[in-house]
Amino acid sequence: MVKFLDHPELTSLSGQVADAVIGDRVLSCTVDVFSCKRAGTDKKTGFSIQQRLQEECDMRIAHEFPEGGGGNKRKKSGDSEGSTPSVTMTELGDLAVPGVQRFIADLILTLNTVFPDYDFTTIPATSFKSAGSVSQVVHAINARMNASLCSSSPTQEVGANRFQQHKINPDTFLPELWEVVGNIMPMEEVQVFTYVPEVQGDPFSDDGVLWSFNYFFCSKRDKKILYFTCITRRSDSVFHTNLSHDFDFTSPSMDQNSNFSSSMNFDMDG
Amino acid sequence: MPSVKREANPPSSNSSASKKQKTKDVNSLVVGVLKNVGDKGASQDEIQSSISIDATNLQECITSLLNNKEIELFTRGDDKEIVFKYVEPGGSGGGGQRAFSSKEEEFVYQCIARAGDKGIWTKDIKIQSGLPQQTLTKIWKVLEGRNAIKTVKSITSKSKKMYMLYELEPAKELTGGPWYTDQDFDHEFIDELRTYCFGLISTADSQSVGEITSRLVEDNISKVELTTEDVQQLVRTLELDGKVESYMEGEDKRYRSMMPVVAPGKGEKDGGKVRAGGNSTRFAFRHWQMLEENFAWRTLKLGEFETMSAHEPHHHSHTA
Repeated sequence: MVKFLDHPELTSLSGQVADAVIGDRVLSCTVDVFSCKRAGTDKKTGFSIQQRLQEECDMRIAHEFPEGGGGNKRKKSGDSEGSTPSVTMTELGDLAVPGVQRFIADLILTLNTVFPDYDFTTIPATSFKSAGSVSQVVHAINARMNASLCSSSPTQEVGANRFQQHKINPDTFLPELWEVVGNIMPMEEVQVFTYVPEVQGDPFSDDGVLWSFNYFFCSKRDKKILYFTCITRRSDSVFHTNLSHDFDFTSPSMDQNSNFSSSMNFDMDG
Repeated sequence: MPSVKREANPPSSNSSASKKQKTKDVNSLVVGVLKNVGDKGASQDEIQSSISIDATNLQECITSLLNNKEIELFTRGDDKEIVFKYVEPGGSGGGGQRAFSSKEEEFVYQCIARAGDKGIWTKDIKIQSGLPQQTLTKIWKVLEGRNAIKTVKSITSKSKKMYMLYELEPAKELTGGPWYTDQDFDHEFIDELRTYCFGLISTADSQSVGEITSRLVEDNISKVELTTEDVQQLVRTLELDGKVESYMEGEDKRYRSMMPVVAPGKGEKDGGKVRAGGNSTRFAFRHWQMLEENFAWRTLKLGEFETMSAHEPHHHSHTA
């Protein structure tokens, strides 16, 4: 994975919203910080993603200039700079630039880590969009979350619901969260991006998902990514225990000799 | 006549005792079937047809027998059908490669094996096994490392992480069949095939799907295997586009061209240029073929030495 950075304060705050029950809904948020340093298998995966992005870049150029792209053809695209065709431009930068490819690969590795039941390795660069300025995004998040946390819909008898109604104080929770976030990652020079969900087949478009947001706060200076996601589901579609945010926190460089956890009470008669 | 006391219908009591008895009965029935078939094993369907039991009960029964190691799971034959075999108590029952490091690993393997060629989403395995992510991650590594399982993607859910047994071929529902390459709908491939099929149809009086399919195979046009059903789909699209029409000759369906003039050369594709045959000024292409995808004009090859390039004014009486 892109290396997970553990910040206990953040973990404890985000833990409160990892599975918050609001009436007949369950709010599942994750807020995690990653370093852009790659370790273990992520080096290989990251490299292959970057190769694939280079192919994507080449295909764009080939598609735009099928005759091989002579000089005059480039001018036709209206690009006054001349050297880089605008056809490879994305909201994260020019796809032809290795640094941009690496950055996109980091975002994909982050997605793979936070959602281990999914594999985003083959998604195109167009899956990511710029989300606006930090203040715009923070404002949007606050509005969304306050609307949910303060929801005073009469709590129906939610029968088999295992979760307690959340006990989060909306007046203090978000300010605290942003303070902690600000300490971890000062927001100057931070850019924010978002992954645009597919119609189906990713964690934001699963069955039972009502709405969601996800933001990558990226500090190029500190080489860190803070990924903030929020998925709200109907509570009857959350079928297992609090495993909605359950990814492997350990170092990716595991050797083959690691023992299997025998403390797991593995009961087959379930 | 042996005086075996047997109940015609099991008592429909809800007590767990009788339920356990029922399970035991079913289990021994299944074991009996498997003992009889011996080494070749029996698939779930085969077991079900031997004893009258509904699928859910059979499923539960098989699960518990697997867990107790009374039976084992294998793949059989070229199509890698999943079958179960009886295991001698105290023996490994064959299949030496199936040495698992732990119960958890074995259980996960069996989840995957049971999914067959449809594969199974990792989240479903997580739910079925109740194992935490950390444990599962390790298990994937081990099983993948031993080439026991492999990842597979589905065209309907491109990002879901799915596994299947290493030796199986993914089902058509996952791959999309011949029309998909790497999870993407292969427009180009289909266009080429359609052009080829249309070429065949229009240079003959008529063609049947069978004849077209044989020519396709002979001429080695496609790298992937195409069945007559696949070719039928292609030709049907040509019919819906109004390029060919079908008619019945006795019991056979045949296709003939709807286009009035000589067709483009058979099997030729001049990379974006559309070739017209003959000296006629009416060409066997339609207006959409003159445009690129971005709506720019294409260069057209009118004859051996004549081309009408994209910048030229568009009239047919073109002097070099």
